[in-house]
Amino acid sequence: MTLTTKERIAVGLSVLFIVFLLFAPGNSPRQVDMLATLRAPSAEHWLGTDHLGRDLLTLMKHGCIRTLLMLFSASVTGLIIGVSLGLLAGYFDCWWSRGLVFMAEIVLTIPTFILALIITALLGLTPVSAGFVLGFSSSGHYIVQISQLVKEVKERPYIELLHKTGISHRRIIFRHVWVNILPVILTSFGNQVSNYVLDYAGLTFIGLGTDPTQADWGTMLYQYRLYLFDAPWLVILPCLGIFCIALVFHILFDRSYQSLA
Amino acid sequence: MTNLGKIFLRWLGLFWAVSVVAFLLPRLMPDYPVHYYLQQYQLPVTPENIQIVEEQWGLNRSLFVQYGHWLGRFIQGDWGRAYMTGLDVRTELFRRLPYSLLMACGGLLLGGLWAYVLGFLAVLQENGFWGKVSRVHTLLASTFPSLISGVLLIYLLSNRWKLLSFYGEHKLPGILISSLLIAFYQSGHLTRIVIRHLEEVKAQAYIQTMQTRGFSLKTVLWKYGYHYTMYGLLSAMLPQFSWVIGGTSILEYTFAIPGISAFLIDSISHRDYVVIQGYLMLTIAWMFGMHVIVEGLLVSLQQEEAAL
Amino acid sequence: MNSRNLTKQWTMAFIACVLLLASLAIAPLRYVAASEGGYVIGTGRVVPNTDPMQSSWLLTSHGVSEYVYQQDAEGNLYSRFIKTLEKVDSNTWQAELNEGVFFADGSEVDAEALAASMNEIQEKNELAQATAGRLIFTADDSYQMTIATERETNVMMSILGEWTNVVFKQAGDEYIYTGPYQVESLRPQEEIVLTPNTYYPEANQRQQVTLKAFQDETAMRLAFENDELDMIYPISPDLKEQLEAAGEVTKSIDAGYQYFMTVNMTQGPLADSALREALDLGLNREEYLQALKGGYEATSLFAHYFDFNGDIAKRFDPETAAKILDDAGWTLNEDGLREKDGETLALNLATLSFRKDLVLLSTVIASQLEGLGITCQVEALDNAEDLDATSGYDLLLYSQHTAPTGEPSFFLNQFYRTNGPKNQFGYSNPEVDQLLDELGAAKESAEVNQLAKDIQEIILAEDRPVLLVIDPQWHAAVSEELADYSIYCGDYYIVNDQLGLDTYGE
Repeated sequence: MTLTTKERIAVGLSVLFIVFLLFAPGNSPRQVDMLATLRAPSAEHWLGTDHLGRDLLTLMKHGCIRTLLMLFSASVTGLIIGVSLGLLAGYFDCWWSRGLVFMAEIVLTIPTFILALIITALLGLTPVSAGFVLGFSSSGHYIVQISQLVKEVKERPYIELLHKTGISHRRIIFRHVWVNILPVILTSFGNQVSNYVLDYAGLTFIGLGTDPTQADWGTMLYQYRLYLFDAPWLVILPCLGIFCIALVFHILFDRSYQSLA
Repeated sequence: MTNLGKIFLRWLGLFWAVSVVAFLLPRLMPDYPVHYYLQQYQLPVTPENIQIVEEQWGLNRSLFVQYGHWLGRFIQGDWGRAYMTGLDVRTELFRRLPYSLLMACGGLLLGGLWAYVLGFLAVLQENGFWGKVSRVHTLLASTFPSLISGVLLIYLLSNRWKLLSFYGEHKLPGILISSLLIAFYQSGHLTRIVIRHLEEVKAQAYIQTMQTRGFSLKTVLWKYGYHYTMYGLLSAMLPQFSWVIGGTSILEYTFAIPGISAFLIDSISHRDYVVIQGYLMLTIAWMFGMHVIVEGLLVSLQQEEAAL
Repeated sequence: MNSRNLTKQWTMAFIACVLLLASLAIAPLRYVAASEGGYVIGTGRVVPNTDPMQSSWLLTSHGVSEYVYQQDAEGNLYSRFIKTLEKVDSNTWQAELNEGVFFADGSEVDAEALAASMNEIQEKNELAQATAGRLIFTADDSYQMTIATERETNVMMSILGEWTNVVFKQAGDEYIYTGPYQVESLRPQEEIVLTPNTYYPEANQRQQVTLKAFQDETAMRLAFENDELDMIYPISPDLKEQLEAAGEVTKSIDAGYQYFMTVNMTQGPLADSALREALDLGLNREEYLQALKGGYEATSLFAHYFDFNGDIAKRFDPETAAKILDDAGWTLNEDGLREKDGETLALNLATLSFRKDLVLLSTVIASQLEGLGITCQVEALDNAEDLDATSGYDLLLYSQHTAPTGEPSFFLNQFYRTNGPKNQFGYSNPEVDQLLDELGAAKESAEVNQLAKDIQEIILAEDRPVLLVIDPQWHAAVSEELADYSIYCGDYYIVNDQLGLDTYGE
């Protein structure tokens, strides 16, 4: 995997920003100060304060941690369930693989957002539970997409040839099929990451069973939306955070992007 | 013929499975609609009051009886009445359906079209202008959520430039702008898929051979890349059709469009079982329709590719 | 077949789809009612239908229907229909009706019509029987009516002012009401167009009114700033502040709804009365006024304009609060947290997700508790009706109109009587129960007021099963033309008979 200088700089800066947030100084994200609301950046508040006088840097920091937690939970759930089942369902053509695709289709039939609303009402809305639900919903997507791709790849003459020469299923899947579908998985994943963040923002927007005192980039976007014109930096900051994450994943995972560059 | 029969059976099974899921899922959610109803009128949650409301809604019967009763009525076209509002669920869902369909379907189809065009242009020229556009587009689409961009557009188009009125008598401007926004967000992802597929085609030996014979890349890609790419694009779009009914809530809120999603989310937050059930059944019917159409297209794409 | 052919097919299919969808959408588009002239109001909820059994409360808040008794801006009950109401014996009341009150179709609301309307509600909406059991209304002559109650009551006015009891009559499929406006067209939960009821006094001064539902405050704001709405209500304190800064006319309205925290005093750390007192002293209520951009410091369980509100001034005294905590054994550890026997002091606070004010306040309260060295976990619930002492919550930040029918006993009985239906955290004090019994039997208003005050004294200053938060105001923004229009009683009468009158009066 080769990156151009520009891309290295972009990734470097984004990672730097995220690391800066993670290690930024800051006290409790809940500390309200009604006498210092909507302050501009200063030595005391490096990024200023919000409408409740909370320190924005602290909020960004905690939002970053929670957002990464949610992303991790979503990615792991989505990839593990989606890719493994998708590969199996596509490669083997029998009753259980068809059953798998059938189940995946049921999951896909219900909009991610609605499924997430219902399930988070069950589990409570935390970064991990939201991540799990979003990942679970996207796994249906992976299963269907990957199983179809694998079917296509499998029908290629050289795979059939490999099979006839007695090479094991496992070897064919990991050596040959895998190589063919990996770019697609990565592209999908690279795009999916920011979708997770935005879906999460949407979930907190509709807001069932949330903890309003916790900061997330998503909840910040929603809470500060009213200040889009009066105090735009409140909205721009979480957007910048999301942008950095999206950028890193695009550059590192989107192979179509690389082949263009 | 047997194949068709199988497909039919599979969907029949899906309908049944979804009906069970639709029935049980809302009932698994914590909290009870009766409590919401009483809360709405600031009435105490006493056993007497609960009993009155339960009897009114038929929630005092066993789950099996409730399920059988609901499904039986449902098949006959009576989808029940919403608990909180007393509205006829079927009438209400179908009244709201056109808004959601127009917004989301229009947006999705436009998004697919735009993705194809943009992806095609991007692949033609290595590291060219369109490639950059597509990259910026994808990043923007994944950074600014619709809950921000929608507000920004309304502010510019309506309050600043006085071009359109979104909250007046006509919902059409809101629907149009929402579908453009949906197209924007959808194509961000779809463009990458188009590019991926076209790149793959472009790397095939025969394409390069044809280019050396004097055919332009554009012509060759258009002719030989079309089926493969379209196949990938349609496959990626198919699952997206699911959120046509119910996934557009944020835009519906922002543009005050009375679509299905807003109604549904209100109902979820009040645990209005009847509405959620009706909605899930409608969604599965809709997806059945979309699968028939898109899978038909996919088959014909494959046949045509084979005939090339 | 070649690719071009298929492209054509695909394009045709696409166009066909769009056309089909467009034609589907035209039907509802044409259905839009013209709303030329008049006032357009943006609000949170629009009525789903005009059925009095299902929508009486919203219809009244839209100015279409009227309860038999309603509240005026000072919190007093009045009736357009009943001139005098007297208790004859323990289960019988006698009412004399006003002459010359009409339905929107011009027919008079006489004893027969009123009795028919009330009896139908009693029959079809069992929830109307919650307070005094089944009521039976009998018309004695044109303007005399007898009311028989199943259980004895002293608050007939309030019962007739409950949300179920709207005056209506049915003509075919249509419902006809008595309020200042009548329904011209309705799109359920979306938009309602109202025209003046010509049989309501001063009808010729009224104009058409349209109410539109908005789920999103930002959308409501944009529409208002673009002059597409004449009034938006209710709006968040933050929006109120922004609009004020932008030079728009805003209004703050006494909500009547009270914000308070119910305390779990049967389980968890707050079972210790010292801790409840420390919290009461440690909450800085001034900050709630700042966060909500208005309101009054709460001194009572009822809005400040009622005669029966208590008057218990709440001090903010963090030093004493800290001392009480120290004395109770909860001392500060090196992390700045209160600790006792190796356990830190942590509270679980529940609140209601759909009350945005409460969600905002919960953030401020959590911050204040942290300042006292108490960690606080907040959860915004969709519904708090089924919480009880064992649910694991120590505090429930709640909002309720504590006197929607202008009298104190309903609320006090529900929340503070032993095993009362909304006494979720199990408060019990025989003295309070005794006083509540006396309150139920009291007939004179002076006596009622004094008993209500005595009860509040015990609850707020001694036992503290509840901590007062704020007597809030809600906010509206209005166009210049509606600058004099006043809403009152929270969201009970958003459209009332004063809408638009002032501008035409002179």
